[in-house]
Amino acid sequence: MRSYRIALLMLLSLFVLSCKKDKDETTPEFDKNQLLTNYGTNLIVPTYERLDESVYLLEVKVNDFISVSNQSNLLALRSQFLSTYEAWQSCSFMHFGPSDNYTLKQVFNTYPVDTSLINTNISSGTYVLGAASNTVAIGLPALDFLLFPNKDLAIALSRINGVNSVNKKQYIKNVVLQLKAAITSTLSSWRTGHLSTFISSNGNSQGSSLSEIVNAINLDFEKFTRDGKIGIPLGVRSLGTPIPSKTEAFYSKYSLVLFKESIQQLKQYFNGESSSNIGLDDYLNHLNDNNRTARLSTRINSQFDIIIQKANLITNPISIAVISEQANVQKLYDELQKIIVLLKVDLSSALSILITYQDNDGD
Amino acid sequence: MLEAMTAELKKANAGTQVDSSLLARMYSNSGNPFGDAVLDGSGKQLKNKTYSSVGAFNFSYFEYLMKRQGDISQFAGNTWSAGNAGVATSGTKSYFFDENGVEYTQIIEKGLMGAVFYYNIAEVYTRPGKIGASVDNTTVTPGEGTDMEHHWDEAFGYFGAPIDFTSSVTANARYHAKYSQKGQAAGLETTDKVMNQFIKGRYGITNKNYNYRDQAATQLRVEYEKILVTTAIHYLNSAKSNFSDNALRNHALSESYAFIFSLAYNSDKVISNTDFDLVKSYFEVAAGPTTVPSFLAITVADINSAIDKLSSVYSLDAVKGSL
Repeated sequence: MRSYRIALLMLLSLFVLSCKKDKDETTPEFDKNQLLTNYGTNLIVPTYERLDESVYLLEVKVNDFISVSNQSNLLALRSQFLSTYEAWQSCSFMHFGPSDNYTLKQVFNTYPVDTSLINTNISSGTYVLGAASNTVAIGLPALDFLLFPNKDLAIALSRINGVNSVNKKQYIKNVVLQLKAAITSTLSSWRTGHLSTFISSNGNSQGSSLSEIVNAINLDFEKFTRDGKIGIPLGVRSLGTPIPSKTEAFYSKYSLVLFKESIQQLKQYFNGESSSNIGLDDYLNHLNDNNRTARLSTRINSQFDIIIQKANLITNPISIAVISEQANVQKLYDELQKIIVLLKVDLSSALSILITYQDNDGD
Repeated sequence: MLEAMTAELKKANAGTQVDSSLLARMYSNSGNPFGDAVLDGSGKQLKNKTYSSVGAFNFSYFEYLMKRQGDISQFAGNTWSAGNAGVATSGTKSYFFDENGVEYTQIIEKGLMGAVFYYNIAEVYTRPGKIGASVDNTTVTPGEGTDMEHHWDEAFGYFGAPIDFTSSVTANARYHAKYSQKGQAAGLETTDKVMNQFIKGRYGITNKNYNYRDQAATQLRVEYEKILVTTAIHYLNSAKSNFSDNALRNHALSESYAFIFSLAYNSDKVISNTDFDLVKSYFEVAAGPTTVPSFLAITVADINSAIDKLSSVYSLDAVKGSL
């Protein structure tokens, strides 16, 4: 009787085990189509639309300022410039496909600018902004330099209205027109065909949409956020000597705001925040084995929050903080390092994505 | 040999002047230039294997380039800027460019890969003069096989691949074999297709199946050309992605320019001469009666035009973005 019971128990447990196994096997596949539809339709295209709209308004403000170069028009132009710079932040980590084709990132946000090259271009009045030799004389950073020759509005206005003012204003306008051409082409490329290509490329091999999303996030975060926004000004590439002039938005001193904005927007993008809300976090949760104490998506989200907390401890623009609050900026940098491990190693391996952006041909 | 030359050329990247007379001696293997008894005493040289014709890229052109690299690398201690030769740095990478942003190290190295390696494969060792009816395919020389087998193996040697090379066995792949992996990674099976033609041709020769041999010789040239094109597009994409980085952009443009002009070393090339000249023209400026490479005025639109032309000629539109 006793052995009979044990046998029954064993049978029963076998039954339970096999049931559990069955259940695992029937777990539905994650719907990558929905994920990509959300990213393409609700996140990427609307982000480019916002930038397009913002650059259009920028052009309007430039025209206003050129026709009446007074303080209030300069103020309006500056304020539109800053909101365009904010709108740019999320485009930075969506840099693939049409955006890569029109080199949106290089056109919009290459800094530091070569101020003497800008001045030479302005005084000569002849230049091709798209030429390789002018990549450090264009984009939002060029506007940053030209619209903020001084923080004080009256002094700035008198500088802009000073020497070479006609050429200078024309240069400002040409820079904006170049931005407009780049975003218009990118957006129209997405609208006319690329969106459906993007949604249908639903594997995870090199060149698939998921691979492009993950690679673009990593490349942007490593090179342009960690290094560009924080590390290089802090001096991590110059033996510890800070280089404040290499900060984003150096002249308007808007760097800290832009940095926080970029982290917030990246966090939303990671979580696929929109009406449908299906993001990389959901895909990770679906794949995650739950063996860890905390899910990878949770750890990534907490790390985003820690980064924001550390950034909130900084009170000055980054160009000043790297000197006056060096310890705080260093702490922020350390937290940025930590999320790179999560994004570049853990996230990419969980999703079976190969990080392909390193130039690995060794020469 | 090319490796030693490249090492000398790259001294400029580290700020040292390049010895152009040493380069010239390496090129013609005269006066024990390598300090390596095997190479120095081999009796082989790159110079007399280089494609030569009046007016085209030929061996005197490469000698001129080596002299130029030696001359301008006196400025290797300077920082590069548009119009001034010097070294540009990005992260851990440093490259020496001339005043037009051209990296002569790449033009010479990748150019010789074209003018020596590709030329010998496409025009010499897969042609009747080396594998045709008049070539002995009976008498076996120990260690070499028949003359015809040996000639086919010479072609394979220029490819730079280990004998067991496949898309999944890639260790020790050099030169064009290494670059065949760019197209392979984008799903074009570039590596495997080239290897399969080498194997098919050798099988044909050994088994005296001359249909196989001839099909393989023709198809090999077609597949091999794709290595150059996919690599050129790969570097053009890289130039775009790094458009505002002087070091990476000029390096990538130099690589692509050399792979593009190498297309000329095959008389059966798919691209027409008109299209070939057009693509090359995006990277060149007039200098007196001739043209020289210059990357200062190039725009993203120019790069896209070059990519689009190449991808349409070679039916690579679907993958041009992922190369």
